[in-house]
Amino acid sequence: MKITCQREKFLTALQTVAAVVPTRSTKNILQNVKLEIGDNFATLMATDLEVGIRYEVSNIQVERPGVVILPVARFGAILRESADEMIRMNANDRSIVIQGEHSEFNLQVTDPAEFPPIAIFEETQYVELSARLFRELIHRTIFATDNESSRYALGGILIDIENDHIAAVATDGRRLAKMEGPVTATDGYVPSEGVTIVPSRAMQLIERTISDSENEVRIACHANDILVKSQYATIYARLLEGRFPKWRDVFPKYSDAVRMDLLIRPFYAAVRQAAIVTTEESRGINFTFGSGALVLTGQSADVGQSRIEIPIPYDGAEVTIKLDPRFVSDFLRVLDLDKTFNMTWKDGENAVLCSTDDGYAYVIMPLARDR
Amino acid sequence: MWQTIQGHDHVIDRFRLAAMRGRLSGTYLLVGPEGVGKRSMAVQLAKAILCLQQDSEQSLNACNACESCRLLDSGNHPDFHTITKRNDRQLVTIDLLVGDQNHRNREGLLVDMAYKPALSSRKIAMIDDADLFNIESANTLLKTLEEPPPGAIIFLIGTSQNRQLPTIRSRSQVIRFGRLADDLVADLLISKGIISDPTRAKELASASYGSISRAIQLADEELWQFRAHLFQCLVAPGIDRLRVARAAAKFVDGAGTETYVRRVRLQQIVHFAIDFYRGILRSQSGADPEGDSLLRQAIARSQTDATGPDDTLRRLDCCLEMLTYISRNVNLATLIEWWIDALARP
Repeated sequence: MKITCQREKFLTALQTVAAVVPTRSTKNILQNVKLEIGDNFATLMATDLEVGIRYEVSNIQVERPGVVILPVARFGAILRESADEMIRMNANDRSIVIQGEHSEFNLQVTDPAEFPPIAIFEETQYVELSARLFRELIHRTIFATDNESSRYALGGILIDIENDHIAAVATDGRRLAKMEGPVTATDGYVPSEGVTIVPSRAMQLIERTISDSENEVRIACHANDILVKSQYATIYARLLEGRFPKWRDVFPKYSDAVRMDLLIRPFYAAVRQAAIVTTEESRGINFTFGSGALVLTGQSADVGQSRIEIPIPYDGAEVTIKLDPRFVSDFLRVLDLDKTFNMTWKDGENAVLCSTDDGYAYVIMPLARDR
Repeated sequence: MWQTIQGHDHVIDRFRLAAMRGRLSGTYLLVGPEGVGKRSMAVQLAKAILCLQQDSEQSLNACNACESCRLLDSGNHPDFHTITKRNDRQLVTIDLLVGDQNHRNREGLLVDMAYKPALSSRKIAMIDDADLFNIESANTLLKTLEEPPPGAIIFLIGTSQNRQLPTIRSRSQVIRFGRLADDLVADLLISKGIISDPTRAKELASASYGSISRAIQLADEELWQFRAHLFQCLVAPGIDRLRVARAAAKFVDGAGTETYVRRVRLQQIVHFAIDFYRGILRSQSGADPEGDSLLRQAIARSQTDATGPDDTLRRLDCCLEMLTYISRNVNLATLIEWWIDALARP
């Protein structure tokens, strides 16, 4: 392999794929990136066996195609420390020579056959959606995943695709976030039969990788993995095994519920204020819906009390619901503060449903009031 | 011979039968002496089961050519996860299974197993040193053993099923491994290029009690010399406590400054003494002698020493107790003195 490339461009690409490289691993090969050079393409690859990424590097002059495995830490350092505009690389089976204007490095390389494979996006059947929507799907659900329990399936986001429609769902058992949107499916697209639960770490990577692109993103779900292709990157992620709650059943179907539209900014401010006095031990805030006003009260024995009042369009009987302010804030934080959201509730015992008009819904279970 | 595994045909037959009927179990507990090929067997089974060639799982024959076989050989297979006790720890701790305090349930073997397979249709875990679970890590494992992820196979590798919690034992199929034949050990020593002289290979093999790893250890000339010296000391009527303790301490110090290697060396010494007293017990009870010529000669000479089986048993107990103490961070110099003193007591 023999190429000449622009240092900064190459470094940016390397840093993108290096996000996948595990900081510690029993498999030393994973501390490397694979660079594959063809006649008219250059691809950088990295994997930690759970997530894999292929990234197309542009502006490379190819003299001789080939494949080389590069130690990410050292190679990255060489590119970072150099001030040259162009870098030449020349590799054979055993080593690679990296040349700048006044510098030369000779690194040992590993056998490319030992590098775990990273799938290529060669699908003919996939769905397509805008990068903006996909980012939103991830951003608005990922906070509700549970990465600390041994119910590993809850550490991921469920992706449900059917009939030109995609839903992303995440839950930790106490709240559930769901975001929906339209997709364009290719002709004859058949949704994957299994449950698609994508680990949140992979989703984070996807969100970061497609953040600067405004193009379409292609998604193909398989039984064991998911492939996401954006303009330059293809991300492969292994799915999580296990049972995910039946999320459609989680959404309350009240016949006699109270529904009201609330302005996000003042409501969020009130929740934050009320939460000032809460502690790890007494976490809940009482949301009391009274005639014309919503009163938020928080209290803890060793700090004190808070009481915040905001006007609401409600004139029914007084109802108090105790909610965890962190869960409420998580939902409000990902929204546009100048808009409104809809809150649906029945009483202090049943789930509260918050939703927006752009396909986002969030269910929170109230805390027990007698504690 | 199947996939480079020798001397365990009955085990292979058992796996073949189960595989042919499509009835491979979720958890296997492979038990047997150190260094007889349990790990190699698990790796080869994993290779055959994960191989991408059709019917490889039913026939248990790996093609040795597909991507899966290649990755497994290089130790990078995405669906084959292994953990081993860390050298600086005495036990297999919970962080290997579910991550340390800061990464709990985010890394570790069980988390890896929660992912769907990447390349093959199954995923396989091999837990080495399964003798050395602490209660916490053994219990963490239970849930996964009780309800393994679809297509998962877990190999637990230990020396005795009695060292497992009953809850783990009852969830595993136990596969027993016997010693390797002396001839086989000798052949392996030569074919692995550790020894070139066949006579020496035979000698080491007969001293190895059917364990290739032990034979490889004994190939260290220094260790072999010390073994001879130790036998001499033990044969002598009335052990010279000071001299033996000093020699043992010096030999242990010679292993290096790291505690781990010193402990390993002391364990080797204790195992030599165990071999010796076991040989004596055999001759006292009229059984055929076993072991290499050096050991047999030492035992033959020690017959002049008028001790009964009770004495020998007491000394053996002493050695076993010593092994327990070694694994418990007791000061080594003190331990050696205690041990030699206990052996020397009439």
